[in-house]
Amino acid sequence: DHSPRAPSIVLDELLDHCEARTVGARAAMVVQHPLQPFSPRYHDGRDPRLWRYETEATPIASPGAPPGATRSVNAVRTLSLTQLVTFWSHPAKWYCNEVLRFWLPSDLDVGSDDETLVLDQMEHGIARANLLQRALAGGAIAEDALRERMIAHGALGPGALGAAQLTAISAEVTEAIAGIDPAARRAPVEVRLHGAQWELSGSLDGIFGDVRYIVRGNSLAADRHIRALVEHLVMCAAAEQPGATVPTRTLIRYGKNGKRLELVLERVAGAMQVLEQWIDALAAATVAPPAFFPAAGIAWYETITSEKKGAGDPYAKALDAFEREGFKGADGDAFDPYVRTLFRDDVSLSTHRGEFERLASLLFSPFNTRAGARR
Amino acid sequence: MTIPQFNALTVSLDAGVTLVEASAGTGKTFAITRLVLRFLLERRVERLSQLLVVTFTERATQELVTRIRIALREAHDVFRGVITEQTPANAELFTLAATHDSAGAAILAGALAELDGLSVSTIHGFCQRLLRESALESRVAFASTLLEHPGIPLGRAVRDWTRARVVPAPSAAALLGKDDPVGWMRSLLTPTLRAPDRKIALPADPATEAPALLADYVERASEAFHEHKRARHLFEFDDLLQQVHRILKEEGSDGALAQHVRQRYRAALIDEFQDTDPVQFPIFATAFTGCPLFLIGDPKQSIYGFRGADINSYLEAAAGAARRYTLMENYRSVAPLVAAVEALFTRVDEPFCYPRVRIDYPKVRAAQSAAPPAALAVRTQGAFVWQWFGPDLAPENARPKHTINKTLGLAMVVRETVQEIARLNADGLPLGSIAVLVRKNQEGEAMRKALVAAGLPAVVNGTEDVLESDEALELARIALAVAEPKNGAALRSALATRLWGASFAEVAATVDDATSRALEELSEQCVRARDLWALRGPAPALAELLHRRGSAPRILAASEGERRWTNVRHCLELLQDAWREDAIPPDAIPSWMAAECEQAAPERRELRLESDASAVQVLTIHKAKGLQWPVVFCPTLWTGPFESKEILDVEWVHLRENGTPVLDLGSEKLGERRSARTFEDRAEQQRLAYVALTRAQFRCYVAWGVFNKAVDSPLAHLMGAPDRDALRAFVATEKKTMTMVEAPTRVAPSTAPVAAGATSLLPPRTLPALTGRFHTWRSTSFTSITRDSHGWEGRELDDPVALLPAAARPADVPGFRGFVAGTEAGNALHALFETHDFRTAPTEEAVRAVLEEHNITPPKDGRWSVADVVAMVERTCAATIPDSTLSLARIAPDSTLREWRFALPVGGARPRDLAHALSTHGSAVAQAYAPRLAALKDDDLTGYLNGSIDLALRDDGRWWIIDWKSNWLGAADTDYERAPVEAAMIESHYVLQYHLYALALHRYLRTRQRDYDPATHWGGVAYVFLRGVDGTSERGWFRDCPSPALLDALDAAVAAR
Repeated sequence: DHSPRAPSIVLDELLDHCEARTVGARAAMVVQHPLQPFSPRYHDGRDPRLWRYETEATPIASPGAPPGATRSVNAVRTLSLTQLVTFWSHPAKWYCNEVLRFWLPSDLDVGSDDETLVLDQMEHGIARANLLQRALAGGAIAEDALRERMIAHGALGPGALGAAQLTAISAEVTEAIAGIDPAARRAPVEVRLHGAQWELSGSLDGIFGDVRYIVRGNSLAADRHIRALVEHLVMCAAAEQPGATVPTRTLIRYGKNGKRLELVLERVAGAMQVLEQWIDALAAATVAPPAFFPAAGIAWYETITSEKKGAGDPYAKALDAFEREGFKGADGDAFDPYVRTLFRDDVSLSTHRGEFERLASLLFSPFNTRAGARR
Repeated sequence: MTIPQFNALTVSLDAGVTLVEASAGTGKTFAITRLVLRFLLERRVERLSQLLVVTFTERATQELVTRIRIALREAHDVFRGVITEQTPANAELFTLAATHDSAGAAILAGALAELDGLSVSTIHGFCQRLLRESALESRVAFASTLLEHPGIPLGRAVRDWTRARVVPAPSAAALLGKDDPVGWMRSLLTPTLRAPDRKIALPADPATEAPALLADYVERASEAFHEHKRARHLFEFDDLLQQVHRILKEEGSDGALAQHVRQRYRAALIDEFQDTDPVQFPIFATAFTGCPLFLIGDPKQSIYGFRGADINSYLEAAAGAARRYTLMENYRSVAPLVAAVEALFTRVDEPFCYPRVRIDYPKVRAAQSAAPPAALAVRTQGAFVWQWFGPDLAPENARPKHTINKTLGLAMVVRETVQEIARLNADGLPLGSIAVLVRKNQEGEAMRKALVAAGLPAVVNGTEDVLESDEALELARIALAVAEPKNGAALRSALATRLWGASFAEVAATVDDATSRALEELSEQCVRARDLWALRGPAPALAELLHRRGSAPRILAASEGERRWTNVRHCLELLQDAWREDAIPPDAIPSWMAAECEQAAPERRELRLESDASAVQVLTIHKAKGLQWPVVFCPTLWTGPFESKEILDVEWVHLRENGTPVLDLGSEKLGERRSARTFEDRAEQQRLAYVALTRAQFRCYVAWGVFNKAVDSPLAHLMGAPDRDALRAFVATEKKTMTMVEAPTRVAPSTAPVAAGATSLLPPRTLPALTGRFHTWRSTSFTSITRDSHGWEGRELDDPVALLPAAARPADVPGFRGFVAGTEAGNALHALFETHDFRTAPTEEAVRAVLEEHNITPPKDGRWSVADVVAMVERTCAATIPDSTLSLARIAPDSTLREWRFALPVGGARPRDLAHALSTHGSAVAQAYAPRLAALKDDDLTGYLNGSIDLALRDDGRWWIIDWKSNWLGAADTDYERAPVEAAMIESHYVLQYHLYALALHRYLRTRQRDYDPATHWGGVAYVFLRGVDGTSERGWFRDCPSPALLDALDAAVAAR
């Protein structure tokens, strides 16, 4: 328990005996080694009895170069919608994956060799997302063949457990898409946008009639929320193209524990201009890690768009979300391994407050109208 | 009720139970040493070894031994006249010397000579020794082993329960929903796991079957866990107690075991008795019937309910004691502090929730006369300082009755604590004199970080897990680079660690420049590290890498360097231990860490102190018990108890009723029991607060304010709801001992709560584990089954070349037989066959590309060439498999499954069951191999058996399994004849391997092939020893065809038992 250990009785007796004969013998005979081999006491020369073969800690170096900047901006940038979405919804991950080109162990697919019994949150989410896709496309989600296939793939637990899991997820999915007519579904819209120094391409799915639906069977996680906003803006920008038939309205539908909430995003005026600024921000972020954090960002955004009186200080809410600790692990940005990797010397929002608020304003200001986001 | 004052010199040493209640700081250890002296001097015990002293922790046993030794020596010196000066501390020794004649000195000399025989132990240690010394009386197995990681078999029992009870039952499965029974272990299962007399109360008319399902869960998982221990002769410490308790209960005080105890010991002194439970007291009461039994404890400090301590057991034992005393002098704290704590705890009638007749707050006198450190006199403050936090600190909380939310509140108290410590330090108080006591480890880590950020060294004495630190994650990233030294992404991930210390500019530069120096340098070092890892383990390999990089001085020079570098060294030790046990390779480090993190962290994984320099001690109240510091801060006593959540919509509660653990899952008594439980929780948190507030010698700081839910806190029980005026009035009545300090107002913490970087609430350890996807303990593989059977741990079975003497290595042989050896060579050959269309000849370019991918280049001396490899592939494909008509050359790619991965569900298979199937139904080779299989470690396999079949193919409606082997069997053609090939198959356990493969395919076909019949649809199994295949003879080929009967027998052997 980190407390000093008493010597054995025999040794203690010996030392007492020596001390009784010669005052100071105990202190002279006992060498109190520092707790750690790199302790400065080994190297300060005050006690000649303290020495080590290991010299790795002898030279005390300077702390080393700060993580610092990386490289200059490309003149013309071609990027996909996915890249733009990832940049805003998980900037630290985007920076590691896209700029530094590495992945953390938690993202590497080492292949699960664990049997599926109970679905964890991620497995449940994946199964639900797949079923949502299927249901929105008009497919059946409760048939035996589907269940057997999912069980065989390990997407559901075995036997009755898998059946119960499928029933539960199907109910969530059915509830989530209630009222959406699969027959009104349109083919995915291919987006091709050009700016002064960039090209953006991708496709937008989930369009039913003149509305784009983002449906989540559970709560709306920060990264998903941001993704919906980014895609909405891109859709609005695409609608500015001559002859475009892209809808300009997004309806985000999500729910948890039987409650369904809807968030309506109306047309954003001047979407192309906003997009220009976003892509400038992305280009600038290739030089240094972007100090924008999704959970903190959404908390900031929700505070400024809240219709509640006295909703509080957006930065305080952002800070709370940044540092919030969940059960076994955490859900605050500060606990994200990518954030901890990039901001390894100072994982705090206060240090980066200015940049965070600048990027948050840039991302959310197109949607920053109380009437624009209603529930 | 007035309890008489304890006097060590006059208290009766007669037989029977004597209870001594010792409030905090009243010198109970001192009292124990005086009792030991009296037992010796009055000849109640002949020898020191006849006295049993029991305490709660190992650390306390060491301290007690030292204190008793010092007391004996001091008494001996007084008796001999060596010490003549009488002081208050040794006055009792002079009294004893005056009472006892010169024989006393001889008795003490004898005791000193046999100090090694002194029995000071924990209660578990006592029981363990008792069972060992009286193995026949106690009826325990001789060869028992301590179960170190109970979480593993417990998790396994829970998953087995899920499989057996939920998977086949639709109604249970529907109830389970998204809940994970593994997640209920700690809350629902553990509290009654080790109590065989547990009672589960169910509702009389349940609305669903959920309560019954949960009851079944607790019963069956508990039974499976205990069965696991029984079958393997494993024990836990609590089993020792249960065993001793059971025997003593059966036999009574005249039984063999009790008599054995009394022959060995004549008296017992039980320290920290307030943490007893329903099992411990009966053990001592029965074993020491007719002997003096001293119970020393303080019910006000019973805080280990989570470990099974039961205050009611203490109170019952206390009520039955023949004699009862209390210690009345506080030697720890100065008088004003003693008075202040007393004023606080006597504000209400029942400060500890129980009636005073059961747990009272006895008045104590301060015997501490030492002067406070001069630094505490610089600013005039009371011994007890209230730090008040009002609602006007935060603009958004400006309304008077608004409360401060918990996150913000923690940030505020952390900031105030740091600032006050900085002031004390500036006044001249050494940091080592200060302790900060918190309720949870996370609070402690936040406090430590804030102190360090403010330039105040601090250490946490807690239970944080080093494997969840940033450093552990970074070492895992470096290990992945060691595993794949040519993988650019893995290398960049390692480069970007703090340990390696490359700037992001350097990392980014390697993206466009694959030949960058930074990448090359790391890659080369990783190659060397990989070799070193295989030979000597991860610690030397990673330490060498970091040493070459100069990581230690760089990390140590940075902020929190000592903390970080201590974590690195600690992790390396753990990795090395894991390597020694399981030969863990570098690429398995992330999954190993994830699996470890799923188990509760044992002591060896707790963060170590990084420095012995003077530093503020930050620790939980539980850890602080028994310790003292000049100045103590209690910043979080305003937080309330933790609440349990419903499971499967079932309200439940755990508690003890008359010593019996009860789990109520909704019976008609649930409400009553819930109230009782809430009462117990609140009572324990009062005791926790008492422990915290009595650690200081000179000054104690307490944070109090309008924090959210503070009304449920222990302070609210004493002070009422947070109220500035009420506090001010209270302090005014105690102005000689107390001071109230209002935390600076209008600091606007909402906009700059971490302005100094000092109050970030981010414990670095709370990184999410590397996700549960990696954890592997319920799956196994062919290699893991056979690992123990060969002396070259951890090597791939395909690489036996490395075992051969140098004289017989492939390097001496021309042609493809002399192809390079090693795992990488095996991988390259597998890759060739994995992608090749057998109907065509491979091109030299394609083969060369594959070899280059695996870093294999033909030797310059031309011993073998790419053409040799091409020819080998052609020979192999063109050959007809012996005893069949099959030739690979006619197999189209769409008739093949390549690198077919399977997960074979197994339910309790044991090697000897498989061996029996092979010897009964197998071919001659299988029968020859069966005894070797039967000799493997007989540990059953339950869960999934993973594997990957190189090639499964269908030819003319029949299925075949083909496996490529790059093994070196010798230089001569004859080394690849049928007999040596069969010998290699047996020696390397390939016989087991192909039978498991066959079983996997058999099960697969049974579900996928219409009208499947193994007699019709099975072709066979062929293992191809590529170095021996000549295309014209049987050389290099092994063939077998497991019969349908054997497949069925194997299937039955691995099915659920």
